[in-house]
Amino acid sequence: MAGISVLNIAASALATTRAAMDVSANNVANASTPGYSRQRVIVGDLVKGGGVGANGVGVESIRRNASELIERQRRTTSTALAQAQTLGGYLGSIDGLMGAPDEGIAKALNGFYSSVNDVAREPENRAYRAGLLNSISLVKDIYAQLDARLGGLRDNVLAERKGVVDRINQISQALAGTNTGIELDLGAGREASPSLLDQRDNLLLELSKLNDVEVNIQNNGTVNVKAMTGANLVTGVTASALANTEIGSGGTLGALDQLLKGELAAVTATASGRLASLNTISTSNANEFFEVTDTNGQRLYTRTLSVGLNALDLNAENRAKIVDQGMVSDTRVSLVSPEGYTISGADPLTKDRVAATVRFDALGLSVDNVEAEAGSDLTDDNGSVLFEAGNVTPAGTVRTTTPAVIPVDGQQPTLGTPVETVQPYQLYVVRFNNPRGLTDLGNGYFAETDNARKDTSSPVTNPVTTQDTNAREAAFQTSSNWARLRGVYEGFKADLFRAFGTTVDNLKVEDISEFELPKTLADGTKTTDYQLVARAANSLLAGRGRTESDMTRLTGEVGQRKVSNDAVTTTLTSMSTQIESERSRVSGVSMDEEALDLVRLQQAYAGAAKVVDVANKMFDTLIAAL
Amino acid sequence: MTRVAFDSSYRTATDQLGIAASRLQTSQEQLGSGRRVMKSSDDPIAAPKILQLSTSLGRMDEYDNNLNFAEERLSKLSDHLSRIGDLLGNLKELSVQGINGTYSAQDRAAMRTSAQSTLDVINGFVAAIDEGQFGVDRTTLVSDGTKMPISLTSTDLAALKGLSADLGVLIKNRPADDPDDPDAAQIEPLSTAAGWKSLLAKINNELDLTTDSSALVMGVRYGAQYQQVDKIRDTRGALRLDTQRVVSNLRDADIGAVAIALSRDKTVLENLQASFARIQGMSLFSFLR
Repeated sequence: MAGISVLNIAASALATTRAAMDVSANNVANASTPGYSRQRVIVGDLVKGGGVGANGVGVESIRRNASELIERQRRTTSTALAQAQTLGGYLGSIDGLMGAPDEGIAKALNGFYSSVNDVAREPENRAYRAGLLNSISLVKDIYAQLDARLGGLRDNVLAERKGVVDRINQISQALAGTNTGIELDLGAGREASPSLLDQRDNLLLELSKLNDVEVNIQNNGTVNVKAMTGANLVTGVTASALANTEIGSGGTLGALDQLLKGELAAVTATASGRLASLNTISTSNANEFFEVTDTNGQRLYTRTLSVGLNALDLNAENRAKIVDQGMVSDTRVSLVSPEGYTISGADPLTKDRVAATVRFDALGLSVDNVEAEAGSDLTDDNGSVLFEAGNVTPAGTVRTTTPAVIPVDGQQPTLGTPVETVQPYQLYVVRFNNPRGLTDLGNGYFAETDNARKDTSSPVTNPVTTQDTNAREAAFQTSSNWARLRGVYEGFKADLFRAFGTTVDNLKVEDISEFELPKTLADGTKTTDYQLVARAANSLLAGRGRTESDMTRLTGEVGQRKVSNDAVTTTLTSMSTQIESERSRVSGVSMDEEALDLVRLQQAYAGAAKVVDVANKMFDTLIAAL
Repeated sequence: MTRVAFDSSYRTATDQLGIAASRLQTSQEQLGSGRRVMKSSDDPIAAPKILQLSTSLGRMDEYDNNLNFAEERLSKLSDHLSRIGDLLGNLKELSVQGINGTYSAQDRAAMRTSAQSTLDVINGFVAAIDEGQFGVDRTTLVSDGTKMPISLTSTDLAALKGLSADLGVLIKNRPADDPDDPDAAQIEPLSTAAGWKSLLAKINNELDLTTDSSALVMGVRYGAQYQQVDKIRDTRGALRLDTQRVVSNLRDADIGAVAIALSRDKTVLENLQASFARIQGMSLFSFLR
């Protein structure tokens, strides 16, 4: 019946208009909701099968304004931007830690060298010596703070990394959930809900910020996601957890891994490595190293004199050490084998002792097959006696049993003939439990292939037993050298070795004539103490150029890294802003547009209501006529 | 027609307000600290240069300290050596008189006493120069690559001690044989004209300006080094001023420029805030009844 039809048509218009107003109201309500896409109502004629004429209007679907192209651009840019921003945050922290170029550690370093200069010029001035000890302490403190803060940053990176991986896995789970929802909608014969699609896109965007991912959107709206490293994250309605060991290829995770493996590691290694020499100066009291190499450049022994800055405080004990005992009570000989092991000889150090040590090395005996304890024969793996305990007498005779001709101090002594020395000759083999991850040669010995410096641990004072050796090993493991080696093990090898080299360069004295110390002046007075202090200070001054240039380079590198990253961040931010504007243009809610829509819908609603009113009056007229 | 979404204006305003506020903060920091480079990222090209030049300035201070010390020591050395030269001149006059045969034994005894006193004073100066445990051959760096002595060389010290010993033999009375025998005969070198002659020969040799080991020549040598001090100081003074100027140019902020930037940034921020406030009040909803 035509009259009823009018009412039905008007009712459908009222319902459709109200539905459209709901969508408009929803748009207005979500105008500032991040990631919300404006929704619109698709309406259509209600056509009855085979019917003729109008049948009203209905909501065909509610769709969102979205562009897959824009969403893909958002994800790509977000990945790069998040990476640059994360990197920038940490680089900014490092930059801040370093402070002004002429303040902080640089200033302390200047003060330190100024004090060293004072002592080099006037070693007899106690105030200057005390000043130097204070400045060493200051440098050490500042270095320790910097080191601790860099360590703290590294801890933060690790903690953040864990959080990021957890969040990635949560998002994967949520995406699998949206896939399920989309499939349910489709299964019920509906289009996928715009809200679900928005949720999907927002999750993908967040995921892209955390890691560089490959997104594959299916025709039905579900999505499959893989990390760029190939690990599946979401396949249909199934999520796979990203392992904590997976390397990030971009985004925040990529930046954190870049920090750990590259930027932060480089800066930390640079700071730790190049400045470690300062720490060494302060912790080891700037021992002097005397080294002798053979014609092939192989280091034969290292002599460490625990004088140097230790002697700055010329109290009775140190004076006695240096003068009365002729500097020998605190010295030792370290023989470094080609395999990297240190054999340390006991005190006192004499030229003959040195000769014997050099000779031992020159025999070509591999230290890895030698082990000795005081009072026992020294044998190799085959049981051949190299040094007989019986020949190590209190009078100090060393007997070698392998004939060889070795140049020592320009002479050509024939080994195999007992060589007289003035002190007992004792050998110690220092073994380590593979602190540097070296190749295991068996029997507790390890080989390495580079030319890293070896152990220069504490001085030997008495014949060593196995227990003593263990104690020394334990002491070594708590020493700064051990910390440095541990650093090597952690991957900072090159820089730290360089730093160690720096230390040695700073302090190395190659003049073998120094072994003739203490010098005696013409009047017979032993007056080497101040000279030793001055020499130690001058050795430090000789190495300052390297330390200062390292410091300068470090300052430049830190700033340059930050500025370069800032430039990338600015560009990406600009791109991101542009893309967000584009998205707003397509998917954003315009209040004016919604207001106009509401006016339009209001008019439509009023029109439909008027139709109902007219139809109602028409029915009233008809009923009245009846 | 371009659609303008509701959140676009907010986002734009937030971004621009952030940038403007950040610029304002930078200007404020520079104005407050007077520095343009507060961390290395502020100017990664200038930062290492600032550090390098600051280190150079520190080193100049050290060199100045060394130079002051060297000046003091060289002045003292030169003075002592010059005094020894004067005393040798006195001894020479005495020797010339001693050779003269007209003097009585009593006169000679008086001259001998005078010569011994002079020798004691010379020995005192030699002892003052000899720094004992502080060593010899000491130098200090007064500029890059330039060292200046702050003690005698071991050769010079040996020559002075040799002079002291030689003069002792020529001047001082001593036992002939057994030093423990109070009755042993005494050698009195200056009791005869021949003794004075030997002394004169020694002194003439010592005053020979062609001999490097002569105290006078030594005095001139150390004095010449002393004369270099002012020249080094003047040169470094100019270098220091120039270095300080370069550091300041690199590191310090141009206060005028920063003040203008601050004013500009403040105006920009205020305008941004005002325009945002104006725009966000505009809405078609206000007109719906």
